[in-house]
Amino acid sequence: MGDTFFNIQHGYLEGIVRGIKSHLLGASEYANLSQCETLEDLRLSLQATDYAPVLTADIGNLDVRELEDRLRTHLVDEFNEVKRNSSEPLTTLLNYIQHGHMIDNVVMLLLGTLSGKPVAELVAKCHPLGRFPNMGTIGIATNSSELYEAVLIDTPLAPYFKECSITEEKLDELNIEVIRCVLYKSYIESFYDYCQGLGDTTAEIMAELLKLECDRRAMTISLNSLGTGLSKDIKESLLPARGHLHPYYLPELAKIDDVEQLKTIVEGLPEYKGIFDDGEENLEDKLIQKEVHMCIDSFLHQFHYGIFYAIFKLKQQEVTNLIWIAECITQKSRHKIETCIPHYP
Amino acid sequence: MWMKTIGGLVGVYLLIGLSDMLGGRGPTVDIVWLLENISPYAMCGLGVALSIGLSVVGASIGIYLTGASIMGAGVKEPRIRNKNLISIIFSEAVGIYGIIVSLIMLTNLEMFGLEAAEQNFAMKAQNYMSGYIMLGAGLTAGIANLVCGWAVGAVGSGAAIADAANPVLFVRLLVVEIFASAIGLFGLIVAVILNSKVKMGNIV
Repeated sequence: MGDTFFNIQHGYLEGIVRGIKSHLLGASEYANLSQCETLEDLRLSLQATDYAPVLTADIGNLDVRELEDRLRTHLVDEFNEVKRNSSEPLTTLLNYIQHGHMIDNVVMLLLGTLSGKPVAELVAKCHPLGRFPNMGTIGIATNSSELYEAVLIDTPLAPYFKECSITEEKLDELNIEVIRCVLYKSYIESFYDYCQGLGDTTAEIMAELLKLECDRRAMTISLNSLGTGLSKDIKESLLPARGHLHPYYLPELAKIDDVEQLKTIVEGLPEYKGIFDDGEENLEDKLIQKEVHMCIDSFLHQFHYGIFYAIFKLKQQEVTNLIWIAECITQKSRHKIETCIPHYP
Repeated sequence: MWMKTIGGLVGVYLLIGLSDMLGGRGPTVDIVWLLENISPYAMCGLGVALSIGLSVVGASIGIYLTGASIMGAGVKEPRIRNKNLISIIFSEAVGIYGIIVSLIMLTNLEMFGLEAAEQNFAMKAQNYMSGYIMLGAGLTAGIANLVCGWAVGAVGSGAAIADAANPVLFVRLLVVEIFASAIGLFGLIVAVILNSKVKMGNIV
């Protein structure tokens, strides 16, 4: 029943998003791109794709920075077009996508100012999907209570900050990482619960995608926190409690001492069985690859909101890939191109 | 919400019935009396209204489901817009089935003398039967067309998106759509045959 009325509000957008999906770069485009000798070749190869209007010939000197800027602007334009046409509950879902980037931006700004870089330069580097007003003022925060009261209270991130222990302690690198983890944990849990509330196919599709995201965070956090001296209880409280690893494997994950133990735990889950089998790529790439496949699969269902999440994941991955290719070309290490691109069907 | 409304109505009816029964006015709770006093014209009118009304709802569901997807998918692949108009036509046909049934019923609608009907039981029975047949025919056509439009819409929406992704799929999905569209025809056929039994007026 609910499926039928989906099209009243979201049918048009679903059509657009599926259009974007069928214009994603395919295997043949990637084959062409990996043959490019210079960035100018890369630009010409992209002329036959959706990126033609953003990479016009009037760019004087194309470098990786400029390319990244333009690709990201293109992505944000597409996102905003969808968001402007959206209505509830899709708007909230799109907001959630932005909140993830906002958290990354806040943490990047904090880490940047800590190491004394100028704020203007940092703001320019932020992911445009996660921009919010007054981003520049974040540099004034020296401890987490100032950070909350001066900056974050006016942003959509304020509710996620509730679980953060607001202390007068000076912000250092470890503190900032902990803040990132807590914010992200409460963000992704709230996102997951919201999607479950939508019910039907949306809940089913988004559950799988967000569980993977949770597990990826949990694995990354437990790996990165090795040797930081954080106690096991704190570590466990940082791991997002919605994934496949929840609830039985998270305490074990907080206890690990090296990568091998992580592998043993993760391999025990049916969802991740065999993920380390060939042992060539690193964990992050494997999980990204899995996520890309799941995003593509989510397009097999119609009348649900999961594709809006999936398309922007795929688009971002594509931008990341293009930038990686451009980097490889400028650094004359083209042999690396093939190794790092998740495969699109 | 629907269940609550229906439950409420049934509850009110039972309360009135119980209070009548316990208050010694038992015979007024009489379904046969109720049915006998509903005029055959009311049944005709209800039949016509249901057939055209539900069919149009079905057609509009079909058109918006398909139309929204055609518009969206047509942004990136403008070539789909002409071919996929056929899905809109299928949905529209559902509304036309409703009109056909309504028109047939309206041509069968005749005046009859109520006084004469009270004298002549066969004539009364004939006219009452016609009334119920029209209600039944209207419901048959209406509900069949409602779900038919729904099915055509859902398939049409998928067809538009599939066509945008891969042009080969269009013809195959069209077959599915034709079968969905046939559901409404079943309703139409049954309604037309039912209508052939209708005989109203001062005849025996």
